[in-house]
Amino acid sequence: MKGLGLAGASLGAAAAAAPVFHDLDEVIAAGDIKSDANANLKRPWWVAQREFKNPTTEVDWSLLQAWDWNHEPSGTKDWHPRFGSLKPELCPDTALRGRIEQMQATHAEFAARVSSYNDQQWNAQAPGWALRDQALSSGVNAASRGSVPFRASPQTPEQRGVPKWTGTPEEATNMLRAAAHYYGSSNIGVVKNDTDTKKMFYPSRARFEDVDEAYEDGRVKVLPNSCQYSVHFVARQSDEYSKRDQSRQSGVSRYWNNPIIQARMQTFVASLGYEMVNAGAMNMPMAVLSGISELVRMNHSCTPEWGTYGGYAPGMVTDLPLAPTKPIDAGMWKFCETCATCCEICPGEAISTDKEPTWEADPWNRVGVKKYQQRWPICIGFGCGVNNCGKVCPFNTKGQGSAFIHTGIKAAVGTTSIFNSFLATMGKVFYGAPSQPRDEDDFAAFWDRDLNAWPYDTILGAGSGPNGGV
Amino acid sequence: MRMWLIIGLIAGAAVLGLVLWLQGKAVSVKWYEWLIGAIGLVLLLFTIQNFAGSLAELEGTAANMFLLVSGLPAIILLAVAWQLIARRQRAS
Repeated sequence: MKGLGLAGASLGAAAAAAPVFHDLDEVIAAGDIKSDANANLKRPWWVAQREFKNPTTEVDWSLLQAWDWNHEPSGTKDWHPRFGSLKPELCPDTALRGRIEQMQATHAEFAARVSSYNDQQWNAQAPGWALRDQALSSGVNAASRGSVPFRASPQTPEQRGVPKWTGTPEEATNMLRAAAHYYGSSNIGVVKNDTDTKKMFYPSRARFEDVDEAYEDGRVKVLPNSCQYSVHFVARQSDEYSKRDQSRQSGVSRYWNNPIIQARMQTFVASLGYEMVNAGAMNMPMAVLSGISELVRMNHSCTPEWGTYGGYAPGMVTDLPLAPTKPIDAGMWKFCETCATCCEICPGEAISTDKEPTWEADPWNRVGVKKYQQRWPICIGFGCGVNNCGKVCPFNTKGQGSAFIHTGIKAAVGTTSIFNSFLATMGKVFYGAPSQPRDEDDFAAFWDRDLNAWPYDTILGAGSGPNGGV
Repeated sequence: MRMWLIIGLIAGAAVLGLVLWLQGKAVSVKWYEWLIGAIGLVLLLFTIQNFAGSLAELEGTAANMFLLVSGLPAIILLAVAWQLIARRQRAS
């Protein structure tokens, strides 16, 4: 009998680790769909919730203003390096002009070096840059970001002869998440559009008015004030392929997957009898405000589950009554103070190396946010690819099937910061000092890989493997 | 998950087998020897999981580091537990 008990103990221990209901509490929790906006996707226990509009990145809402690239009212006209608009010769501050010119020189030098390297690799048809790798990248771009319509027009409930869908706001949020999960988005976040959060919309691209329906006024999308909620959908990106940047095997990108998710969600909501307009606010601040992620040192958004590769969260506005989701604290923002691994791989030192974030913003960073101030004149369009820093973030880990140590470390970081320095150091010991994570041997092996052993790469959300599901 | 069910079965059966064998040989085990052995076993399982998981993540360096950092101490602890028991048996 003792023997049976001992054998049963190990069987029970192994079974207890399986992701099923362990007790009645968990069964009952699933029934909180109507009252808990996060009922159908519980975060790990070390992820705490904060109050609305109070993320781990401090925001002074009284100072924060609407902001846009190369935008006179925002004070960024000719002052932002994006879209090639930075004109330091117009800067009256001699010291600032000198810094800008130095950053531009750094950018130009390294951009030339990266471009030359890419040309060299292409000419040599090197693994990762050969024709079939280029073709792989081109194929990814087949569904572009421009394919989501301004508004969807499916069959409405009225046309079907039924009333529009109704339910509690919490139920609505859970329902959107369930649909998004089916469509390829692993999580959603909801923000109430108020005077403060509306500052996260690009003023040159969207404005709110008292109108019955959304319409386009030239480049500007006019949104009804009835669209009180912004919904942001996580568009994940393969961590493995991101490590292959800057080869052409890194082409599978969240930017090419998200139109599929957004178009599906837009039609889903319209089919329920509500509006969902393709006019979203800035994805990163909204991801942070809605609890999808925290901001990190490199100015990306970083999710507790997948790191910076769960961090693209494009949004749309809707008049479907929803329950907003709160910002989170998983210890990641705090971890950035001691880690700074992303700084080591940035070829142009565009990422701030300050130990702590600061309120002092250069013209190309927003006033009113205490963060690591990015040196954008070096970063934007650098040529290293937007993922050079992102791919070395220690929070980038796969879900099921990955090393358990990641869960333990995330739990420790989410609970206390006293081990942060030690853990950051151990990360470099175990995974090597930051460098290009994948080399030509990896690029060459890509085309010969055993597909039975390789996780299936898909945006199919309703799966259960490491890449299909949480 | 299936792998861990099997590992759990094997580990449970191995521990059961060890206990029965020790009883059959009338070998006594002190509480601290049980503790050292249990810690060693947990470390060993931890090493196996992280080694396999790191390989699945295509992180060969990390996989090898786990063998060194946690695998070696696991083997040492298990060996210490074994030797403590064996030497006390010989002495008695």
